[in-house]
Amino acid sequence: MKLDLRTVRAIGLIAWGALFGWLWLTGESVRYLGPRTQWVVPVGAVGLTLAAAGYLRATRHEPSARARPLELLGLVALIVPILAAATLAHAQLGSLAASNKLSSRGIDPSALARLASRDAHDIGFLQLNAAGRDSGLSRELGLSQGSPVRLLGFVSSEPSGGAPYELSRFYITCCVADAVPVGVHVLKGATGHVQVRRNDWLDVTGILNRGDREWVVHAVRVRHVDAPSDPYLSFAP
Amino acid sequence: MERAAAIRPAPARVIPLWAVGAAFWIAVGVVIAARAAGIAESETLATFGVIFTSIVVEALPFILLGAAASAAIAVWVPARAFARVARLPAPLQVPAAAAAGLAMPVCECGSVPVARRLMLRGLSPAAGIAFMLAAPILNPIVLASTWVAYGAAGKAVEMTAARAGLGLIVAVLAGWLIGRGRGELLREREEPVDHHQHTGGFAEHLADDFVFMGRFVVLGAAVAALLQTVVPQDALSAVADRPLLGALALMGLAVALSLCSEADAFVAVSFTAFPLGSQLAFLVLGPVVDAKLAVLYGATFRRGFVLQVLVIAVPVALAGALVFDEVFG
Repeated sequence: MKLDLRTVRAIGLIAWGALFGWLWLTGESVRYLGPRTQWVVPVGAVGLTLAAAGYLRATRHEPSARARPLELLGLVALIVPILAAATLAHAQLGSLAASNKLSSRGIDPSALARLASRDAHDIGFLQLNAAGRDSGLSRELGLSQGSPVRLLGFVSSEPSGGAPYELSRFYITCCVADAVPVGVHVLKGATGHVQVRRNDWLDVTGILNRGDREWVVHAVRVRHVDAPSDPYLSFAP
Repeated sequence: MERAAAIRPAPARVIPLWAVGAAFWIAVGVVIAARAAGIAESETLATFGVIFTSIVVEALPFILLGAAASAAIAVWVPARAFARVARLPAPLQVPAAAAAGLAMPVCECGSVPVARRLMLRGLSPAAGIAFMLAAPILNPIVLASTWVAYGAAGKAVEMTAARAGLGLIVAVLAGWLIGRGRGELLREREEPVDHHQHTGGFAEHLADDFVFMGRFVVLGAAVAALLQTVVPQDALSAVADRPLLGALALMGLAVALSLCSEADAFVAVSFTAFPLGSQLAFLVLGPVVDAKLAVLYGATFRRGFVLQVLVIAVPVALAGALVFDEVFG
């Protein structure tokens, strides 16, 4: 076995082709990419596999140069994201990212909510968040005091005592790098006995209460659930 | 004739099969041990890891497309085609190369290997830079996505035209100012020897470019992910209503986020608390310089290249943003 330049390049191509193939076949790509960029996964899987096969075939009889330390370091660098993906297979953005990301204070969710709700029949985080500051949108979406609502999200702000906690979801466009957290405050109400901690995933059923420039969910039932396999939502309708 | 030195085949270092197998199993062991130790439970590591992997996963297929285009140029485009371009009057070469970006559907990661190859094949450095910086903004997919993203806001024509116009200005200015400098612009790098014609040579160039560029995209993605993990972005929203500071803030965000230009318009349009001009600055600077591109440029061009591009692109994007707000705000 020769660890030459040809082998180093082939390992890089095959390893990435395999990762893209795995992401494609298992659907795990939703943990990294938004709906607009999912197409890169099959392109990567097929393209890299063909590139690896073509390269190995084209160079099978050729003398190859020795792999220098820089080439080996480069191969290690290329492999690192694959190891990271394997190690953090079920990891996702949580409350730390929510506190660091440009939140709805930096965006105006109303326009996005209108875009997202064009074909949506469910009231989600984006619609509630936006409608809190936009009474026109509230009317458009049929939101009123006492309306029932059900939300699935993670706890993004540390609840303390009887204060409301924030339940959030990340909305992504092209990849997790552009994720925007959108949250809704939840009043514990009769569910005060349910232990709630940061990053817990909760299925919350409740009714809407009009707060100060926001809709607050008064919880009626809170259930701990596993994080969904696709933890991110999209602005796209 | 390509300028870079060709590899002379040297005796391969023999590595026993057991050592390669051991390296593989050590990697598997590290992954299992890390998972057992609950690495994924660490919020900082999980946040960094997910953002890092997502940027690389999104960028590498574009690197592959760019490497394929670069390999096709190396193998199938005859030298006389570049000689004809080189005979064009210098003032025409740069804008023509920038405008050629319209026909090149690759984002910023893919345009770097293509531009490098074009320069190696004899295109002037000024024209090569202009093409490299213009293609990620002027290509039809990017313009179409900008049009669609801003269509709902009723600003499709204005934003798309302004983005294309400013991108063209940045590319041409950078081409003229950086490309006419003295000395070699490209870092010297070993090139594969063409043992093959056509398909074989294509595969060899493609693999070479992909592996070379890929590792620098990985490093750049690590920098971008680190910035996103440790720097709170919400501080930016404090300046959202100030055109000048808002534009500077979103340009800083564009550098840190390192988004693909083919989808960044859908992100920019969500920053609706910022003026349209600031969003425009985000859309013009991001495809030209960001954290992952800075590493890629550093590996491809001579020292100082990133700074030179920033010195040209930031004032142009800023001025464009302010004028846009004045006219359409």
